[in-house]
Amino acid sequence: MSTATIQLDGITKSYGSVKALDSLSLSIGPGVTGFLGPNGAGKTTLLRMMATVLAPDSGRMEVLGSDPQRNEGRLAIRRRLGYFPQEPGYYLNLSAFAFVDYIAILKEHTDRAARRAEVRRVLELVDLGDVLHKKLKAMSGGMRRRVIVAQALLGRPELLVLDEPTVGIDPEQRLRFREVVSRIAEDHTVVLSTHQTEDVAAMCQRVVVMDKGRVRFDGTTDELAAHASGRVWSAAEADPSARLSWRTGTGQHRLIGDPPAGSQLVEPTLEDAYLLLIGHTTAAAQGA
Amino acid sequence: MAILVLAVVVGIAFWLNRRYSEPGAAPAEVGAVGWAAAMRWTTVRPLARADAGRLLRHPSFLVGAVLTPLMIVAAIGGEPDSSWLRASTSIALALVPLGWATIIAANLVALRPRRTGADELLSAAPSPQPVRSVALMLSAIPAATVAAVLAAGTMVFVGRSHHFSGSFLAAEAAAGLLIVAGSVVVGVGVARWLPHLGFGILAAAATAVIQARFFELDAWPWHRSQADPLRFLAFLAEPTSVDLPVLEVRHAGWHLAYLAGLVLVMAGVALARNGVPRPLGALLGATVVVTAAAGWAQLRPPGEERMAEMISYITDPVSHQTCTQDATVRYCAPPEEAGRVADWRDRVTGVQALLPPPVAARTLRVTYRPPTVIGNSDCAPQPFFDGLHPAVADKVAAADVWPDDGAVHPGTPRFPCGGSLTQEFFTAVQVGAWAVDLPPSPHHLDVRCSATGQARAVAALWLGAAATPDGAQTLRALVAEPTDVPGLLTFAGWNDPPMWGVRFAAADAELALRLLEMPKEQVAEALAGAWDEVVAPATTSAELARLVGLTPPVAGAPGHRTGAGPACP
Repeated sequence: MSTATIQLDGITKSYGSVKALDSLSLSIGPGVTGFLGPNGAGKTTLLRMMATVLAPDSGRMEVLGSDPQRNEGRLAIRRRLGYFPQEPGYYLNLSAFAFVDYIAILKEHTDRAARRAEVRRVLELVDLGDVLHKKLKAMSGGMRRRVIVAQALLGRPELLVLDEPTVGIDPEQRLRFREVVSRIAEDHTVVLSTHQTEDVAAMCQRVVVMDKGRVRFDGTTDELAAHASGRVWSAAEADPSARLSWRTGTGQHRLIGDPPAGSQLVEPTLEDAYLLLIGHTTAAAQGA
Repeated sequence: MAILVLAVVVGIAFWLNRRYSEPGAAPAEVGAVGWAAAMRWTTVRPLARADAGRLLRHPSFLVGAVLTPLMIVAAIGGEPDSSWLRASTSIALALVPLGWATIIAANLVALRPRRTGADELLSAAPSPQPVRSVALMLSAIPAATVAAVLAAGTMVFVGRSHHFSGSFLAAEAAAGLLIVAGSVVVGVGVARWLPHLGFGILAAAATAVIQARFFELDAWPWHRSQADPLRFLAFLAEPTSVDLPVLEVRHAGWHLAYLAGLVLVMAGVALARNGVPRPLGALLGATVVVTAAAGWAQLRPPGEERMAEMISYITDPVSHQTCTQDATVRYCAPPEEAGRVADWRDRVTGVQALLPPPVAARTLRVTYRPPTVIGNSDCAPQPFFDGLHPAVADKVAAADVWPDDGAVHPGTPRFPCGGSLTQEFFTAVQVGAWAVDLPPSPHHLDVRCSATGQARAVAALWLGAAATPDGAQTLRALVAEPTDVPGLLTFAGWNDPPMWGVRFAAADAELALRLLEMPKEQVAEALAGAWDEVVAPATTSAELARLVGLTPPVAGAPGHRTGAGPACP
């Protein structure tokens, strides 16, 4: 049995003629692992497999020491899992407390008093302690997503699988979320998919960049950022020869690629490195 | 027609599915865990409590609950004097619409994760699908409890203005509660196997179609009598129109076991969606056997002792009746008709008061007999024998049930299909017919002769109407009733016609109405003064009219029928 929390070997998944995951192999252990990639890269497909709600077409998986392909394995995994799906769905007529309480029952929290205390705890963790009995339909989109984060935290799961959890959440709440996740990740495993590179930079010890069902990068955030070292420039004007460029809020242009004339080298961000990597990959694929 | 309705319902089901499906949310390919050795059933109770709350608050269930008291009142309210047999079975029948609403509610509650796009989130929780299904199906208990409370409350209200003979039959009414409980199971089962919107509605429609097939006597797949025990294989079986508990063969306990078995089979089918582990397979098999056994038990003929009691009730009714003697008149009635004896007595004494003393002093027997033609719930007429268990019907003959004993056999007290009461007008006319020597007949189908145009026919009708409160009004209404032979009173389409052994003409009834406008004593004196002439078969109604000083009706005019079978001797 592997000591990794999640072990993937040769995982493949297709939707018709589209290959969502292409013979992917990965090993994930404790800490926060962030998954970045463009739309259609296969991140959600992969996270759904980790959450045991999707089966691969081929390959071998082991999650928390159990085989999710078997009923017994799936049951064992789900008892130690917290999951935030990309599109959660809500019982809008229920209050936040009632909804999370219902999910707590499904998570086999059968002692009523203990369950209610746990529900209160997780809702307070996401700063919804003042609106426990507010109906979900009366909440904003961001608040509802915080309810979903709360249910994922029920029972202090050993594995947290979060698919774009911070979409629609305000910056203050995003900070709070990072804090919660970081604390959990001290001795548990958190797998996070996001388009927000700042979240990855702030929370993840490890980042995996995916594109077209394959892993393009697997390493630390520093290593990914270093990928763009010496390749990010600031200039007054845009340069059509740059690989990527955009105008910033200060009026300057940020360019990625070869140095244009009159430009100034700047410290790359994780986003710069990601854009450079994905752009690289796209160009290589087009060249091929 | 049934196929057209089914096609419309299927179309609505698929439209609803397309209309309310979540286009963006892909359903989890791997849903809740199926059967697993490490399943924890402790989740069932709190889950059931949560699901029951959602079911009982669902709009479909609430609509059904609101309608239930109205359905009960509609089923029972029209008959202020009825039997507990009919009331108990009506309660069960009135709960069926709540059952339909519950199928839809349970189905929608079970499909809620799919409808809201939360199925992926919820299926990632460890609680296995069989546990969730059992929890949902346990909502059947509170649903049935609500149905019981509604039924009991409504019956308290109805009971203030109604009188029911016999005893409340809890087992009969409980069939309705099992139907409501079973509806939850059906709704969940359909959601498990056909997880698309609209199939719940289809399931409710299917149960209605299946039940309707059993209610119809002459539709595929059978042609059967009203009392055929095959009807107990439906969800509900109405009592026959005989409406006599002693003649009803109902194995209420076995029917409950049958229904419970069906519910458990459906529950097993719902759980089998995730596979059939050995214990479930064994349980399912045992339940099917028990259901089949209970179904078979309902089809058995009554035991020898019960058969003998039923045959005795029909062919030797006096031994089951209470008889009272007033001077020269003897009244006999079974317990369920005992309330009518007082009215019979009033009509007889009313007629006797208008007769010459020697005629009034004659011996008379008024003996209750079952009606010859009975009506079922939609008032379609059925022969009495069709309401008997086939094993009993095979052993009795019409001559045994309705002997030609010369007695007056009181029939229906009201106009057809639960119409207005007549205050025993028909019995009064039978007594009048007896008084004027018109031949008595055992039952309505045995019309001995035609008294049309005879003076004594007018006298019989007048005597009956004069001895009955509002008798003129009743006779007038009778003349206005539809007839299948112009000019005759034929009780066309009546599901329970009076037991008049002779045919009367409408014209004679109209002449009797004219006599009713005259002082009663004056008419009685005129008839008494020429009694032998009045009762002679050859004396015509025109001659009677002249006798009492009225213009005789015109012979051959519309409404006056001079020929309708052999004339009464």
